[in-house]
Amino acid sequence: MGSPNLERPFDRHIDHDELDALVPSCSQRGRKHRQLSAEGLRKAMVHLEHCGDCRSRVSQYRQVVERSANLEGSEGVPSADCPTDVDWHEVAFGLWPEFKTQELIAHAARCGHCGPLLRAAASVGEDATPVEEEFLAQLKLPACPVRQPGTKARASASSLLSTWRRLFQWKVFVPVGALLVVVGIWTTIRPSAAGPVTGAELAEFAVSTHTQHVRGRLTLDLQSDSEPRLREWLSAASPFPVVLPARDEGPSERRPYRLEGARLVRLRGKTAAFIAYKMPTGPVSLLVTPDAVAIASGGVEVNFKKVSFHYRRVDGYKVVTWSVHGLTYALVSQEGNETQTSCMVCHSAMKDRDLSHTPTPLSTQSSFGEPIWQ
Amino acid sequence: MVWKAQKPTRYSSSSLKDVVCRCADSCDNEAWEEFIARVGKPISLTIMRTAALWGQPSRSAVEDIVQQTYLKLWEDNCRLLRDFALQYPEAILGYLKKTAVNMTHDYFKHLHTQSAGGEAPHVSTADVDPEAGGEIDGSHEKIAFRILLDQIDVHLKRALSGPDQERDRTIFWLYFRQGMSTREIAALPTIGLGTKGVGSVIERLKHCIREQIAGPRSQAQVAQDKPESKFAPKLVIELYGVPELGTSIR
Repeated sequence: MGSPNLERPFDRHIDHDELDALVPSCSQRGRKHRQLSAEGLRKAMVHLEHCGDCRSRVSQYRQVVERSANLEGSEGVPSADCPTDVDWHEVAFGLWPEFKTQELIAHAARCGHCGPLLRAAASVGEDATPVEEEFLAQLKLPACPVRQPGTKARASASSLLSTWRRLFQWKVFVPVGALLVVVGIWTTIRPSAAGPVTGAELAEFAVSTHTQHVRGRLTLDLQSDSEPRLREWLSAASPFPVVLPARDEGPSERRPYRLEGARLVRLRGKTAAFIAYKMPTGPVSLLVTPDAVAIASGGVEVNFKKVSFHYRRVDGYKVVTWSVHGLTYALVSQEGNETQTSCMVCHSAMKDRDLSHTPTPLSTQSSFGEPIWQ
Repeated sequence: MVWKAQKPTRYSSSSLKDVVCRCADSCDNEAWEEFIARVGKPISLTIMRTAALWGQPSRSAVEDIVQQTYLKLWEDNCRLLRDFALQYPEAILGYLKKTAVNMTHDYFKHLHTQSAGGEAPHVSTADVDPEAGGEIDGSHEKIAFRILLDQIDVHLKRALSGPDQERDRTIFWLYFRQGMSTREIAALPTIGLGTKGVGSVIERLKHCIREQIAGPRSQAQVAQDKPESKFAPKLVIELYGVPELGTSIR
């Protein structure tokens, strides 16, 4: 231990300038300290030898300046506060809603588990270094992927053309041939270009929209659990009339779902209404679109007098589609095949039968079997 | 690889969303060239960096993954990409990078699975004996470390005010706790500052923390004005105890 510091009172602790001089930050290193002489620095160091409190404060500040907090490394141990099911690449690439992104980044900044994950994800998107630039420059340009349906269309068009040429040689068939060509081109091109979305495509779109919402990537334009409020909003916002069962909840009635809200989405350039519900079995959503845009078809079909329901599984989700009164609906849930509780988002409002214990006409395997009800 | 189109294309002034839609509708060469000119480099860079997590990537592996990524994006006439672009035009690049990351991981996962001839020997979890070390949750180091972080956070909260205080606190911790560079922080969504802006927030907060740790300067000055003892402080403490000497007012 050094000799006691006789020139400095013991209760005069390290001040701002002395702290600055004792622990210079990167930007200050090599710079001369304006307010502290070498003698002043020496006195401060002697004080440190005797004052545990100042030593602890200087050590604390040193850890801040030297960024040693990140060297402690507590990675791999998630805490109870850590969000689950978060893809940090999606956060770093700005694919989450703004509010949620802020919340997640703020958590990661202070978390020894999530912080390194965010950092790893963010480092992927940084600008290229000169070495990386050199590597990238050596890569060959990717080829434009072949558009399969387009190729088919071109192939069928050229085959029709050669048929037409052959028919042209048979002068008697020229008018008939020309007509066939027109009809052929019409039937080949028309359905894929402007026809309604098929049941399978609608189901895929409904599942994609549903998962985006569940993952917090699709915010709702209306957030309300009031069905009258939903109907009011839909009648103002939707370009087509969205028909939903319209019986309000009775005082003693308890419905097995809670409305979350709704928004409009684009389906092949046209508008569709997306309505989100919460159920004990998980999130449920209903997509509604005019039947000129999409038609329910395919899957396991269950026919009733006025309406047919089409059941299928897409990416683990159960999707039921139906077309009625000029509209097509797609109901998405993660419910198993033993129950149809999700159907109650319409049936309870209709005061219809309880489908909570009715099995779905899908086989327990992922492949479609014969419909049970048929 | 040359990223920029050799000459301006018909779509040079179109938005990325429009270029994507053009590619989806009738991918003519110019639309493809424009697409590559805009997003080719970030896609390849993302693939290269993600591949580096699996080891030193070869040029041909990166080229394969790049091509597979475009094939994935072009599936079903770019339906998913187009739908996304229409709904979130501002996040298209993020979507492309995310697809590139996924494709890269899928590529290497497939390469490393034993069914695909992975070379790594199988290690049963039963053979692995996990060791608890200094990093376990209740260790002395860990507790001390948490106390330190809490103390610094208290200083930060005292120092910060105004509408950006949460953002600034986040920036501070991203820099000091996570070791992220100012450039990495500036590139994060919702930060809303450039590299220099992030740098100046960090300098300002460092200054604030120094002030908090050192205590108000005026107090040091007050202490300086007190008469000095002619005895060594240690001797005074030994003889009279601390109260005679006077304690710190911090």
